[in-house]
Amino acid sequence: MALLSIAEPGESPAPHQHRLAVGIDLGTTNSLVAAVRDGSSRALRDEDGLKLLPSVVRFLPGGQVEVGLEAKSRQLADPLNTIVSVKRWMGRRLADLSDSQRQAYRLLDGRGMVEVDTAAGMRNPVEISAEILKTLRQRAEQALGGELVGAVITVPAYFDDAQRQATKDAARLAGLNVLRLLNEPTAAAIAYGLEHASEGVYAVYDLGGGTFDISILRLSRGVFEVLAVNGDSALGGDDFDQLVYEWIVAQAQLAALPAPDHRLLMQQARQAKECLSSHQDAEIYARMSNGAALAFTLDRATLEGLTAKLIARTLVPVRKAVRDAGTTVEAIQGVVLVGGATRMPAIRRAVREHFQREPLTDVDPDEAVALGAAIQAHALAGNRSGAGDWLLLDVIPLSLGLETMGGLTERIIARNSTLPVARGQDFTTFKDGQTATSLHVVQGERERVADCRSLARFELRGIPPMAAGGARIRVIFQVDADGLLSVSAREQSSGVEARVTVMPSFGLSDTEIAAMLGDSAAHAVTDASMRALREQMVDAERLLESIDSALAGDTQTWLSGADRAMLEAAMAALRDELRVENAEGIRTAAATLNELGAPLAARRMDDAVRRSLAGRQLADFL
Amino acid sequence: MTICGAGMPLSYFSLFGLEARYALPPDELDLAYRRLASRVHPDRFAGGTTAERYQALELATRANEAYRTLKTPVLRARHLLGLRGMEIDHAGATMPAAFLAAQIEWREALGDARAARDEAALRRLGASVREHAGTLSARLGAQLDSDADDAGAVQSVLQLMFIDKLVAAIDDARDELEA
Repeated sequence: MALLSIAEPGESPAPHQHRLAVGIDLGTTNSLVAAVRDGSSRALRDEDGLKLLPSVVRFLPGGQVEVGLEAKSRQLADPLNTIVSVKRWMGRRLADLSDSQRQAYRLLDGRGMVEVDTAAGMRNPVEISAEILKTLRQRAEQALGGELVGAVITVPAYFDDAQRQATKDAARLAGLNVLRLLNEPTAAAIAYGLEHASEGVYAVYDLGGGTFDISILRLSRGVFEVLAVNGDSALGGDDFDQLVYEWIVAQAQLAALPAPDHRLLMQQARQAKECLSSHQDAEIYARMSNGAALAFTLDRATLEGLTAKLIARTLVPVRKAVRDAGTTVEAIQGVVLVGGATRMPAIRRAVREHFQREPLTDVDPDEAVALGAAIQAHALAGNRSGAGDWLLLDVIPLSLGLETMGGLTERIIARNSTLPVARGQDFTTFKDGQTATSLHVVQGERERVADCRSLARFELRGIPPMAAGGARIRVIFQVDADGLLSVSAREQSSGVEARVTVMPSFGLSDTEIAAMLGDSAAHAVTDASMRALREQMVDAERLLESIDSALAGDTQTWLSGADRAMLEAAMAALRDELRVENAEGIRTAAATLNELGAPLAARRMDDAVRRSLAGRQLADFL
Repeated sequence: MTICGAGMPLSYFSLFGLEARYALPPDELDLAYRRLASRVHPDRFAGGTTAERYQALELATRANEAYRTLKTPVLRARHLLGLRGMEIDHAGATMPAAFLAAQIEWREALGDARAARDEAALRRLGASVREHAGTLSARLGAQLDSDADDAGAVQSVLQLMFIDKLVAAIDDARDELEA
């Protein structure tokens, strides 16, 4: 919000054009794109008027790609090249996947995560997801009639860093500027809360195709405060399908199945499950590739018996989240259901029994997430919010820590800490004369490092030799509002320092992204640099706008004539570079101006604090 | 008026414009936090300059840390004692024998309930330990806010720290049972 930084909330000093931004729900089964238009958030339709895009991608020989319904309709004929539920592979290695997922495709361990062998060559989950995102981006640009400034993409709250990084990489590969990764239940809560002007503590129970999330939020005067999240990033509607599939296989006494038969029965299983949400019985009929025909009737009671343990599994994270939120089931005012799988009557019953209240279903479980994401994208792109002034205070879903002696984890930042957060811890050396120490950053709740996810390793070197236990190494973890972690370590007596911004070992570098863009289409690289230039220009213009309006006020008391002249010179220099559209020149001139403008920023921030608390200076608190 | 410039510890109470007392109406704290967070959250400066965003990050981080500290009774008491120049010394602390005996009893009860996978026993134990924490917290409030008994308060804080650890262990045991 460029101008909100200068103006009082709700007051815009200069009119500016509407910046096009979208919210994308990149789902396991279906994906959606939404945008705020005329003050309200709406899902965007494709040429055929459809909102849901099946998250199915088919790779053809020669590199051609089909996405959505077209691909979905070909999955029986071409199962090995038609990828469904790719979200379950994001940031995952072969060992992380279930047997049924492994047997459905030609999967291998690739660079950092699984890859699948298709008719178009090897593809990883990032590339496959990028195809879905590209389709949605095109749909949005067509519907909105212009290029997008950026997108908010939703992820399950319980996604770890590797899964988040993979999602971000997919978006970059699809040519999208990621304004924020937003947790799915939080997005749904924003859509629901703003629409209903809700106040109080709410739970969002989100069971999607491949993931389960529970979030507890407090809504109060436009502030959405996430109190706790929990979940299971490997539990979703797909697992219900799998159990029905196994039931069919057992009923028909089938042995190992060829891929087309497997896919056919999975499809039948899903249809039967969906049918049983509104009927008591579902007919299952399939003609196998060897000509044999199968026919069964599955009734709702049998389905519920088969899947009761999955539903019970969702209640474990629910209990933890309620406890972490420091609240009780009785204090929760409403439970919002999100995700297609919550249409199952057994789930609604379980939620009703657990929370002792009727769940709220007046939000479309398929659309709520995308609608909420669009509202946040609209705000983060610097537009005035259509729904009034609101703010999201989100949390970190999984604890962050360091490996210590004996392969144990020392927790530095606990799960459900409100972002942004910084916390430090002191460590020492364990050997006499030790001059270096290696730091291993991990994520997860388990005590043993081997059970957590490894995020990064780095070294602090040049510690002056001391007796064991003599050095005092302070390690600081900082997680910003985007959930990005940076870690720094400093030996206190010598001042030796090391720092790292954490990118998981399988996160892709900019060069790799560029290379992948190059692989897919030769001109994409030029596209990317054009886009980068345009983004830089937008940023530079915002900077100019913001300094302009700061200077428009009464500056004499705190800004000397010389400083002001210098600022104005730097602004003129940046305007010159903007005129000739010189990317490098814009970057340098903007950096200079940013530096010179720093006192203005401090001044703005002081004003913000002063408005919230009369008579304090920023310096008192930093 | 500079708070930290004079070598004095930074007061989280004054960051929120609250009186430095242990007995803190939670609603007032919540409200003050939300008001400050609304002003300084980095999302408010999403399109701002690098310097603005950096300052917003620093200040919002500080606001979150202050809120967590004041919201959590043990941390709030420690912070209050810190402002009065009292440090909690874990290593040199001595605990009353009766308290240690109660600790050992609770720990044993926890071990038994865990071994027996007895959810109800864990819940009962949790409730009784939390009740004890409530009593301690009330005593701490009197020591800090009215009796000016800082030395007694240090002792109460140490005991509350033990109890918090125990509560966490009971919760972990319940998580384990449910999983």
